[in-house]
Amino acid sequence: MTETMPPTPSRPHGAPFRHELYPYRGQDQFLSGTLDYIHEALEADEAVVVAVPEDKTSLLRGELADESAVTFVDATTAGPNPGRHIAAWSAWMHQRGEGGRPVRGIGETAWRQARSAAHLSELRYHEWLMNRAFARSSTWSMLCPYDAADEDQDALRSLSRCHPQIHRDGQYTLNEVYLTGEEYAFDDLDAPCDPFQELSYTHGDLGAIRSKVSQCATDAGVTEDRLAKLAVAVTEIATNSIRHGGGHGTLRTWAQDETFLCELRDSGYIPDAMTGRTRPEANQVGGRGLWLAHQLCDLVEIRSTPDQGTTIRLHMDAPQR
Amino acid sequence: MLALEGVGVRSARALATLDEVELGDHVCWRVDPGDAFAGARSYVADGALYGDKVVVIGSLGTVAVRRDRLPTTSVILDLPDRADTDVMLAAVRRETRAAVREGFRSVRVLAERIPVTAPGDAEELLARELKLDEFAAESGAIVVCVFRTAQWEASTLEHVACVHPQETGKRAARPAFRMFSTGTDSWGVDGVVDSECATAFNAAVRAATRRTPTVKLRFDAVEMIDAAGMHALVDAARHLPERRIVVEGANEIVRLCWDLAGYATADVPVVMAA
Repeated sequence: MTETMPPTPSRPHGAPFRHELYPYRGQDQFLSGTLDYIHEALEADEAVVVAVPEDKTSLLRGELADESAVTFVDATTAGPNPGRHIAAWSAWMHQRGEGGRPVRGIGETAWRQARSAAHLSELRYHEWLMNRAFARSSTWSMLCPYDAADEDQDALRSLSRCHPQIHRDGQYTLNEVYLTGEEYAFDDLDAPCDPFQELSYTHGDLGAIRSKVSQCATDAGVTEDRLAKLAVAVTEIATNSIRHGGGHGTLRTWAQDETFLCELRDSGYIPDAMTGRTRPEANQVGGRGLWLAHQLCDLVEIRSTPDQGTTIRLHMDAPQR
Repeated sequence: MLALEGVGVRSARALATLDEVELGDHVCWRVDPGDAFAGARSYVADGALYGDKVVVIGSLGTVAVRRDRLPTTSVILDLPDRADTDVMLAAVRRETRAAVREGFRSVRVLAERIPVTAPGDAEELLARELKLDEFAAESGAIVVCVFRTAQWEASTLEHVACVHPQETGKRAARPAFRMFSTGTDSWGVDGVVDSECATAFNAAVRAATRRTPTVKLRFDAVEMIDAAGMHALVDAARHLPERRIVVEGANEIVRLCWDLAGYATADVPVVMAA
């Protein structure tokens, strides 16, 4: 049973982060739901940040001619890796929420443009992590429009699990199927494609790792600029293995479709799911390795448990020649 | 200063043998006792071939000169305190000035280094080597530093090698980075600065910032720097008050990582210039 809540034009101080999934069908429903949400915000003197696909941006701009409290941002500037999105949203919301002003975000992911099953899976995980990332942000809330026109109930159900509220008919309901626990139910990683190459590493092997990755990535068609980024990312993850993951690890590389993958496994455990998803401060001593990997790679998959250790997959686009 | 014709832009190189030394080189030579003498002998003998005055400090070169009566103009410096780099440098500079007057092309120094600093005091050791490197860069002299591996901790030697632009011997391909003088208060860095050499990099940069408030680091030949390397750089800049490091010539990936790492702010005393 779900509990229906009235619209809340102004949020009570100390209210938890509200993260609503808004399944809609067609442009009219998209517009009515998002515009209601925006107008509620404006009436309460809240700022609004909108990051939706280009066609939806045009629709909303047409309805909100010169509304200075509403900022449109290009979500694609954060890049394809969902691991970068929390930091991007955090920056956008902070910029608009100066002085403690409440901010509402509207973020629609272009789900049908997901590049792979792995990408789709990480996009969903990102939506779930938003609840944790912004849990303490009592002045922020977010609406996630979702085009449900294709009647894909499985996709809708998967996404519903990542949102604590569902937005319907101008109201939101608490979502019974939301995954409230500490542990997220990850999709299993696909088995590596054949042929793959494998290398065990320990202290003193960073150069050898970079050399192996560079050779395999070049063979797979990874471009020069991405090779340089991948070298840094691989160095960071292997360093984590050596320093925090039992002192050694295993590197595996392979190419799949138009993607080159590096998988690094070790016996360490990353207890904080937010590691690497927030922008580091200049005075911060460590904690930049995973952050750099997320910022430099086209996709990063992380699976870490105390029992099975950590597996990190770095994806790089490799246009087929 | 000697005539510096033939001294090109300094760059890091691995030398198969000492036959390949060039003017302005500062070479790290890690030797095992068994295979050192022939190399020393050849290096000293080449002094005559190239018209260089040979300056020998330590027993290895001394034996080479005295035992074989090599046909070369050699000066053996029997210094009271070989550990004192300033004393050694003063003596070598005197010989260099004399060499100019005497019409030599250059001086070639063979200096056997002895471990004098406390274990772990890498910064002091590196500061001494950087002085030698500055001397080689400024004067065009060839300086070969001999390190008997049995007398040194392996990790200390790894650090020391990083502040020699050239190296000869079995492990000449390492370390990952090298730092060397490229002018007054200007140091070139070559290679990769990653977590495995970040401690050495930190010590080298600290040593460079001891004598002057502003240091320039040329990063033209730096392939990449990781998070540990960037932290080492910032830490070195912050360890003394009023220090500033200007990094120039960094490639796109280095500048991107610097920005991503959150260091591109005014309160970080390292400037990543274009």
